[in-house]
Amino acid sequence: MRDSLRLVIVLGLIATISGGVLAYVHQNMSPIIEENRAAAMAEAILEVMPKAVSYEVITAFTGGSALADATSSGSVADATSGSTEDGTSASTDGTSASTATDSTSASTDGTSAATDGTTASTDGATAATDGASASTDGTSASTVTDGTSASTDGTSAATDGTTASTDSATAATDGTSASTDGTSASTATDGTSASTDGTSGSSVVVDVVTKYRGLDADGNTVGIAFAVDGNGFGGNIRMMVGLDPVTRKLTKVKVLDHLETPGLGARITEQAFLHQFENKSLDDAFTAKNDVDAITGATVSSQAVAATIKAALSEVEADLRAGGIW
Amino acid sequence: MKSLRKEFLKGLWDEHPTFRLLIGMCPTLAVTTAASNGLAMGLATTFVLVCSSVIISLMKDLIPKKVRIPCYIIIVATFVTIADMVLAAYFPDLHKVLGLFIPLIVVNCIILGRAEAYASKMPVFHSFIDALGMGVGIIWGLTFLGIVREFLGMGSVFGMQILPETATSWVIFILPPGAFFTLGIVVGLMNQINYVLERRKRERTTGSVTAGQAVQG
Repeated sequence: MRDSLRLVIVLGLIATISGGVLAYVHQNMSPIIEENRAAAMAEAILEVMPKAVSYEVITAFTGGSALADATSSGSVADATSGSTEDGTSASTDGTSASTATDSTSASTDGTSAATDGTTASTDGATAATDGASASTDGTSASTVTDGTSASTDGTSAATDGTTASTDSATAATDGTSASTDGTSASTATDGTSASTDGTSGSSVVVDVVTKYRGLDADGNTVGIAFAVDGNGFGGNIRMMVGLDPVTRKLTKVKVLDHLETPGLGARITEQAFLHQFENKSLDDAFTAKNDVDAITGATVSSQAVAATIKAALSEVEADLRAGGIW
Repeated sequence: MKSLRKEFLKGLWDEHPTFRLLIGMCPTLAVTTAASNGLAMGLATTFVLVCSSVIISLMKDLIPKKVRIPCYIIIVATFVTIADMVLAAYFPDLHKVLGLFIPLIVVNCIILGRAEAYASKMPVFHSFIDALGMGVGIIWGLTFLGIVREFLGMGSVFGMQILPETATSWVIFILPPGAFFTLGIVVGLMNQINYVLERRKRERTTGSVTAGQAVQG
């Protein structure tokens, strides 16, 4: 009895001490790890869009994840958390986007523009085309300065426009109301349905995590980037893909995370492989061993990268065209 | 002092953990696709090996015999997790390359083997030297395998291209079978060298003996 008690005590003691040590190390290391991750992400976003000097997260299509990404983009000097509307609500309300450049309000609420989520369930197809013009208007004038809030909208689009703009104006100043509005915006189903449409065409299952819009010094959109998850040989491959919406060509692809075999599939991270995607047309087939050179000994990984990019491209394009950003 | 030197040197050749004792084969075969991977894995393993050996040696009187293995595992796992987090925090690129294999150090036979066979019986400083010797052995072993495989498989060493791009590289050497080929040849070579050394030594000693016998005869 005393023996076994001693066993338990010693084992418990060692486990407790180890736990304490690990908790201490984790507490010290996790902020650095997070920082590294955010820095790597911000660096990757700008790297895949060579023309861009800053970027903003494209929200309202990705729903809940938008909030977390908006906070992480705070490290970028020009942390504009731009949020755009989906086509349906744009046609109803006429609001398209409102941007808050005040860094504090940008970090507390990811999405500042809000619209009536219930009205979003109107005719999707026509609304999407309507919304395209409406929200382009909105985006071009959506940069807000000095923490004061303002919001612009395509007033010509709808009679309801004025009320909608006051709504989002209060949303930008008031942190709490902004966050509630943001949630209602994320429930709008337009973006989700667009992405399901995009994937249904191909057999590859991809998950576009976040989309970014690259801005030049004058605030013009000069590129689009998105982070995407796809299935590789050993597990998930997360990539950052940059493209030029005007020329319809990829600018750069970067592998952020992967679990491929070291020395073989892991070579998808090397420039020798990724270089071939630069300036590749969005309309190409993206088939390994055909228009994409596969890595010797890692055909599956190479194909996974190509197929993931292809599937994600159609999804992102459908999605962004519906939102009028493209 | 002489015994300490012997403790250190035995890990480098006579009791080389991977090439002579043939333990810890999993990371040896899996991560040595490139020289830098082998080196990094060797360093991480050495860190865990040295730290856990010292702690286990310090606690050897406290740990009851019946639960010694769970205790060792907890201690080893703690250091592995620390190494994992520190690598992720300060060397994110390296951590990305080694990824999966870092947590696997917990079940590396070398570490548990040294804890069981040496650190649990010997004084702290001896354990430290022994672990350090074994660690250096692992480092050179994995790096050497990595250099050979990377050179034959990709024509480069530590990422630097040595053979011209046009030269056909034997990709099989960075594939899993190549790990077995390389390891087998290296182990065979080491055995051969030891055999030759042994025979020379024996010839020298027995040579004088037979000479003496001849005189007697």
